Amino acid sequence: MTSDTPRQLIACAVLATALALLPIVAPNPYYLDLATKACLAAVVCIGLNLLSGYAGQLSLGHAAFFGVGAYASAILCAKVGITPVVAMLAGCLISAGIAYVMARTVLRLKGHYLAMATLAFGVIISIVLNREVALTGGPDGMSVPRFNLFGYRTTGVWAGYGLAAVALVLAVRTAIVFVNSRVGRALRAIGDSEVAAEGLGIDIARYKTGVFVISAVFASVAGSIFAHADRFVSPAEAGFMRSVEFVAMIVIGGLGSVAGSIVGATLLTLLPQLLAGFDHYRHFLTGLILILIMIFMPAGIVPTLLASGRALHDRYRPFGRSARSVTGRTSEG
Amino acid sequence: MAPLLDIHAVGVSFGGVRALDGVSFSTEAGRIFSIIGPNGAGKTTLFNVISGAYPAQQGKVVIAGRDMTTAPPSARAALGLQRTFQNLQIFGTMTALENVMVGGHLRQRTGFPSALLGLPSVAAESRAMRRRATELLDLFDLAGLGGAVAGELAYGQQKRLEIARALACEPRILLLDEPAAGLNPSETEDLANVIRRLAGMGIAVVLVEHDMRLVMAISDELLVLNFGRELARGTPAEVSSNPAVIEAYLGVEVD
Ligand SMILES: Nc1ncnc2c1ncn2[C@@H]1O[C@H](COP(=O)(O)OP(=O)(O)O)[C@@H](O)[C@H]1O
Ligand SMILES: [Mg+2]
Repeated sequence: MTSDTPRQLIACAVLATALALLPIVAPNPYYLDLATKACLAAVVCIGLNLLSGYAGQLSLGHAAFFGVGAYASAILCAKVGITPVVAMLAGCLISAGIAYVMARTVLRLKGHYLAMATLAFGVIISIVLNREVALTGGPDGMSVPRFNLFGYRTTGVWAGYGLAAVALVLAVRTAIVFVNSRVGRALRAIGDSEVAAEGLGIDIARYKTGVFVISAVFASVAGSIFAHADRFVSPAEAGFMRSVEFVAMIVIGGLGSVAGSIVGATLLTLLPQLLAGFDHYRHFLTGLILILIMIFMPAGIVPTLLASGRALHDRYRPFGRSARSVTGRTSEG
Repeated sequence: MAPLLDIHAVGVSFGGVRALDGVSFSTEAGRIFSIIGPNGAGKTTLFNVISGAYPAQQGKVVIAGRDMTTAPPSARAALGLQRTFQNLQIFGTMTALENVMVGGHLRQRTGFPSALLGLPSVAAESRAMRRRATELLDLFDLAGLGGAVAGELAYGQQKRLEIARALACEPRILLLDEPAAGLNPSETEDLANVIRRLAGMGIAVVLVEHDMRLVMAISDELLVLNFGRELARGTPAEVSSNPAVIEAYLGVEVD
């Protein structure tokens, strides 16, 4: 958690460049498809991390918001014939509405009620998607029309990748500015000490509600883009296992870290593919690698690497750690 | 004119324990009002009732002329009430500077929409807050530690950081819960000067403290609590010559 905004925004520009170069370096539909999935998972994780890593609230149903976005786009475009951008916005509104009502109902209570409510919400969404066969295609899923913008039709994996990459860059940029604002600081304060935050005049229920709604909208946008990129949606994308995966991604990458969200999402998206050659042992190896990461990097990959980078930096400075504290982490910018 | 802080006959019980029983006091801008009493007398509970952390089961809490008995802590803060905690409640994962910046929450405007859009006003507001927070850190001898993670600071530094954070929103009433605990004599001397200066700026300081020398030196008025009840009140001179106080409290604590 650094408050060095300009440096973070430079990192964001580097990310944008890398995403733009990827299709040129690796013009392979299989890689692009994987990259699309990683970008979209990262968008979900950035939103989820604002909720969990900053405000300290657990959600076990974020895949359901992803599903709401995906199916809103699928159904509104395929069955109602609405234009994709409007369908995506409708998905956002529905997700935001659900999140708002859930938060208002549950956040007045202390404890892990939000985790339980999101868990229940995820189960309900799964049931609806599987049972409402006429609307959703049931367990078989349904196909989705191509994305088009103002009648300009986009084609192929390129378009899906492009949308996902743009969404990721926007999500990163939004999160960086947000985290370093008054609102972001208030959320981190809530995560650290609710009594103290409340005493300083922070309306806790309001802030938790706000960040929950934002995180739901991030997931919903990712779901909508996924539907168009894959041209197909199925209930598995909205299921409980996916929700747990999103939580695992932010924990592995680093709670309270935007970069950690991207690293965790990328790693958990790619790992099963990289290990595909090991066949039966694939799941075992994935689990083993994750366990090892959590043992040796309990704070998550990005925070641990940043901390050891700083420690190295200190060792080669004559004035040691406190001098670093003066000049290192926070600059006026 | 109504007093800045008016506590009227508050009562709180925890199960069978009567933590506060009919406690009243009021204080004004620029005064140092101290509350003393043995451990378990109800001092921290009184602060919790004033700040809104616990509801008062009986009685009234009036802040700046408004009845805030049932208001949440954030609403009381909005009227200019701030506190520190006996068991420190700093934001441990944030930097010292960010702690103080959160302290200024009520003096800033940015809401969710502008924070999400990243309007230029957002960064400008953060820069201004950062400047003010840096000044406050300097004032509390924390200059140069702004970038340090607050949870890794030394105990005395964390105590000063909490006061700096409480001052960032320019409070009218400041509740300090045992600010001198764990400080050495020269740090305590500095603290006394800071508290005097805050009162000089017009803040109503309410102090809970065990360090009798400090309390007697700086207080305008004292309230002595024992088992949740008022045992005595008055100026330092009056209280220290009160036989009931000497027997119940001072006789044990001060040699
Ligand atoms: N949250 C609580 N739950 C139960 N009992 C409490 C609680 N807070 C305080 N008490 C009890 O109330 C009494 C007063 O405590 P406290 O206000 O902390 O005293 P002081 O700050 O004067 O040492 C004690 O008997 C304490 O055990
Ligand atoms: Mg106490």
